[in-house]
Order: sequence, then structure tokens, then C-alpha cells
Amino acid sequence: MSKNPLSSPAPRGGLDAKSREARGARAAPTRIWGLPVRWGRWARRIVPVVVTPVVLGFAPHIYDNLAFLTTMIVYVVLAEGVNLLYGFTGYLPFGYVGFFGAGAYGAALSLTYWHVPGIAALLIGGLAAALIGLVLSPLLRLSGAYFALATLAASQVLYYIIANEPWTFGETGTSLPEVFSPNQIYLIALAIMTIAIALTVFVKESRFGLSLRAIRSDPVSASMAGINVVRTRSVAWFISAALAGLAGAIWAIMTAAFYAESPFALTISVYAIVFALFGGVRTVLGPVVGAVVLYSLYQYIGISNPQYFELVYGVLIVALILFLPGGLSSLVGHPGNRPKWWKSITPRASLAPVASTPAVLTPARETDQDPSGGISRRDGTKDDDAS
Amino acid sequence: MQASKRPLSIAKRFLHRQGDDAPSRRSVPDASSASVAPHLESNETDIPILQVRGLSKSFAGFPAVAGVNLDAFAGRAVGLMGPNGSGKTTLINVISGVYKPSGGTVTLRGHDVAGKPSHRLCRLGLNRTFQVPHPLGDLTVGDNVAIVRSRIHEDHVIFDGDPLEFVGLAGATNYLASTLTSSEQKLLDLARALAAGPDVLLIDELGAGLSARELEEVAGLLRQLKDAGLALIIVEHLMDFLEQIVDTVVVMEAGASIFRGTLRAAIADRRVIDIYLGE
Repeated sequence: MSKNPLSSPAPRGGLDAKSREARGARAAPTRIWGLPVRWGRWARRIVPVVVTPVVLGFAPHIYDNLAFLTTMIVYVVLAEGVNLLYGFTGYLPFGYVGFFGAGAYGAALSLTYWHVPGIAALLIGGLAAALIGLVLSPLLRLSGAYFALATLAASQVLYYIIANEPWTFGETGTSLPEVFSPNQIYLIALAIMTIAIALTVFVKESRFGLSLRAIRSDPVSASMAGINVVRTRSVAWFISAALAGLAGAIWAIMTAAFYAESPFALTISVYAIVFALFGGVRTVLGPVVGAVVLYSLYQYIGISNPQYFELVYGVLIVALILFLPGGLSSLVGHPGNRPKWWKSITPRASLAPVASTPAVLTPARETDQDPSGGISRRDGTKDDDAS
Repeated sequence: MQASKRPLSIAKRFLHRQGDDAPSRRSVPDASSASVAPHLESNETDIPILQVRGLSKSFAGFPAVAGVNLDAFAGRAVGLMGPNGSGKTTLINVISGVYKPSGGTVTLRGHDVAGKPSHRLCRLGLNRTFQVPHPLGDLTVGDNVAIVRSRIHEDHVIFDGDPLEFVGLAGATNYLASTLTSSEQKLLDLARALAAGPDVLLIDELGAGLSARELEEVAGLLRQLKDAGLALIIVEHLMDFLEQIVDTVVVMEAGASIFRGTLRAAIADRRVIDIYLGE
């Protein structure tokens, strides 16, 4: 028996680069957005956080309906919240509306009883949702459909409590003082959206986000790799809950007079999930685009052809699931993730350089594989169990 | 045998890189000494790093592991044998924090770690591989290892080389782990475990499903780790593979340990033969 401990491991043959790429392997990009990797990476972090609020900040000059625009921004925030939770942890929160309602009533009740300043009411709304998140955090022990249904049930419990308690004005309706002007409300909504986008960028680019993806891949080995699975998941859960709470709070301040069924309407959950999926989860801008496009469409059809509204929406969702499981963002993401039908109708020029670069030659530390890339394609095929 | 220059330099890089500001907790054996006496001169091998006493685990009343004792020493390897269903993997799962024990103690360098979650054990220096590979499939091979490293206290690293290079996966750094073959994924599990800088490593059937050549390589890797001072517990059915690595074996049957001693003695032991071949 050989006692030489110094034998070096032979290089592992396995598959060649080409067949790995056929199985979804990625070479590291040499440039991001045409910039050197280091700058491109920063551009990819900063641009969405800066450009989105600026663009949407100009929206009132184009379409002068602040109530509509503010509601749209609220949906952008909700879609990002769903993205943070579902996209990065795989937990699909059907009862996400519970956090929205908790935020709405947190703000409404603090304004009614304590006459706090508007900003404080917002923060209380966010905090209320995070507290509900804390109470519901044992639900994270469930997975897949059980988690989705349990959050749904929890949101209904919350709804019935608020709808039936006299002190919540759930049945009699709230009537909030006007703490902000409509313009201010819009600006605040934009600020909340900016926070949501910044958080998504952070989660996507940071080690925390990497840990979330590791847990999503395999909780057992993530734990064995030193990741505190329960805590990491819970942090994502609280962030997501607080975002929905902030959205609910600004919605409450905007609406001023509402009954419990409005902020607890299940359609809010459904829309937030659909918007996020339509744009593409696990990307930063996917949910923003999804919410803006679909909510505008919603508004347009709702006004012009209300009788076809549900039909058009339903067809859209079916088409999305069938033809674009990775969402809109998969059309512009990594070439390997684009749907086949899309590749066949678009020029192939963008495909060539990536496929021919042997990944092995790229230095390890410059790795910057596009996280949205590796993932969104698998989304449509593997994620439906959401475990 | 090939001239020793390259292997030697590799081994030095892996096993002998302590200087700098973060010295290793324990001195590693001089990799250049040709004879491989796993530094028995120090008394640290007399105190087990990992001490398992009376460990048991029942599933709904069925005892899968019933009162097992096991010790792991630095620089030594224990083989864990036994027929299918004898509780080997359950034992590994309980020790590594995947399951909570129903009874008994697990002591890791003086810390009581029975029932502690895996991430705590990882940071205390215990890690493992899996019988069925558990890659972090959505992450690149490089990230699979990088995600571990920063979570470990520097002062507690025996192995501080590049784990991917050590297992021979450095060329696949940028690939998604899900695109590796299953034997590569097993090696990735090993690399990830090593990235945690463990001093106790539980190896659950790393050999199963590997080709003869791969087995040879993996046995060589494990021997290097053992000689570097890691304590290994190796679950394996393949006797030839075990023989290359382990110093002693523990044979399990129906959740209990029924034999401990050398592998040679085990395969001559009446009870061991009986449980494998029937009476």
C-alpha cells in the first residue's frame, strides 16, 4: 500500500466545456454593460436604484393621475417584496396581503388614536407588518403549498379580527386626517420604492443574498456550510413583511377612508405575485417592469373594456406560464435562459461570444456570473414546488 | 513514481501554510518528511476531538441508533461499517446536527454539541459530506466554497489551501454546481466541507458510485487529510477503500456498535461475519 501522502489529485476530466455549457454552465463575463467587470458591477447596483425613481418621478408630467400612479408604485413595492421572499427563498406568500393590511391599519390606528406625524405613522405601519411577520415566522417551518396556504389563512385571520373589532374601525370605516398632500404622498411612495429596489439590489449582490440562494438550493448543506438557515430566512421574511407594511401605510394615508376588506383583498396578493412573476423574480427590475406594465394594462382595460377585464388578464397569465416562465426579464437576461421561441425570432449575434469562451480559462475571483442568469430559466421548470 | 517536486509543492501549499498573522491552531506535520508518522509524538491524539457517548435516535419509537459510543482522534480515521439499515448514516446525521438525538452526548473539543444545529457545528470545526451529493446547485462551484470560508474563525484551520484545487475541481470554478456530474458533486461536497476548516470530518459513503480510478484518488485525498491532522469518520461499504485509510473500524448492527478494532480483525470476527453473511 502506497504511503505517499503527497500524491497530487489528477485533473478531473468529466465533461468538456461544451457539454457543460449545454447543461447550463456559464462562463464569467468579461464585460458588464460594456464596462470592465468591476465598474459594470457597480453600475448594475446603482443604476436601478437611481434611474427607476427618476423615471417614475417624471410620470406625473406624462399622465396626470396621481391616485393611479401612487397605487402603481404601491404595487411595485409589493411586487419587489414578493420577489425578495419568493425569488430568493422560494417561499410563495399567498397571504402577503396580510402584511399590507397590517401596515395600513398600523398607520391608520396610530393616526387615529395617537395623532402621530405622517412619517411616524408610516414607520409604525412597517413595524406592525414586521411584528405580524415575527408572530407568523413559525410558518417558515412549512414549505411549498403548505406555506402558501398557511400564510393565506393567517391573512384571513388578521382580516377577520380587524373587520370585527370595534376599535379598529374595520367595519365602520376609517377616516384619517390629511397628513400629506397628494404630491407628497407620491414622493413618499417613490422613496419607499427606492428602498425596496435598493434592498433587492443588496440581497441580490451581497453575501446575504448568496446565503439565501444557498438555502434555497439545499438547506441541509447550506446549514452544514455554516449558514444559520433559520435566521437568514427570517431576515428575508421580515424585510419582505416590512416593505409590504410600508406600502400598506402609504396606501392608507392616500386612501384616508376605507373598510377592512380593501387592504385585505386577496387580489392584492395575487396581483403582487403575478406582477413579480410577469417581470421576472430574482432580478431587480423585473418586478418593477411587471407591476408598471400590468397595472397600466389593468387600468386601461378596466376603463375601456371592463367586461373583458378578467378574460384578458387570465389569458395573459396562462400565456406567461406557458411561454415565458422566467418572466419578461428572461428575454434580455443571459442568452442561455431565453425561451427557444424568442431566440428563433431575434438576431443570434449576441449568442456567439459567450458560447465560445472556455469558462475554465477565466480567473476564479473575477467570477461574476449573472445571478439572474443562472436562475430564471430553472424557475419555470423546478420552482413550482417552492420548497 | 513521478518525481516528487510538483506534488510536494502542492502538499506544502495545502498543509503547511501557517505563518502570516493567523497561525494555525495546531501545528501541521512537516509535509516534506517522507515517512508518514502522523505526528503521534504529541499527546493531543490521546484526547479524542470528538467523543460520542450513548448516542441514540429513535424515529416514532423505532430505535435507528441505540447507544453508540465513538471517538475520533486528530490524525486518525475511524471506519464505520455495517449492513444497510444498521444506522450508520443516521448516526452521522445525528452527530452533524441534521437530526436531534433522542439521548446521549456528543462532545466536540470539550463543547457539548448534542442537538446543536449544523451551522454551529460547522463553526466549531465539524463538517461532513453526504451519501447522495448535496450541491448548492444554483451557485457556481466557486461560490459553493466561497460561501463557507468567511464564516470560519481563522484560528481553527488545519486545511487552509484551496479546497477546489485540492479535490481537482478548480477548472470548474465558474460553472453552476448543478451542471457537475454526480461524482464531481461529491467532491464538491468534500471541498465545501474542507472550506470550513474542520478538524473533524464525517465522510458518508463518498466512494459509492465512483469509478476505480476515482476511488483511488479519493482515498489518496482522504489519506492526505488524515496525515494533516484531521479526525476522520468514514462510512463505507467498500473494504478496499476503507483499508487504505482507516486505522480502526466500528461495526454497527441494528443501531448498536457490535465491534471495534482493526479492519483486519473485523473481517475475521465471528459476529461481523454473521451479520454480513447470515449465520
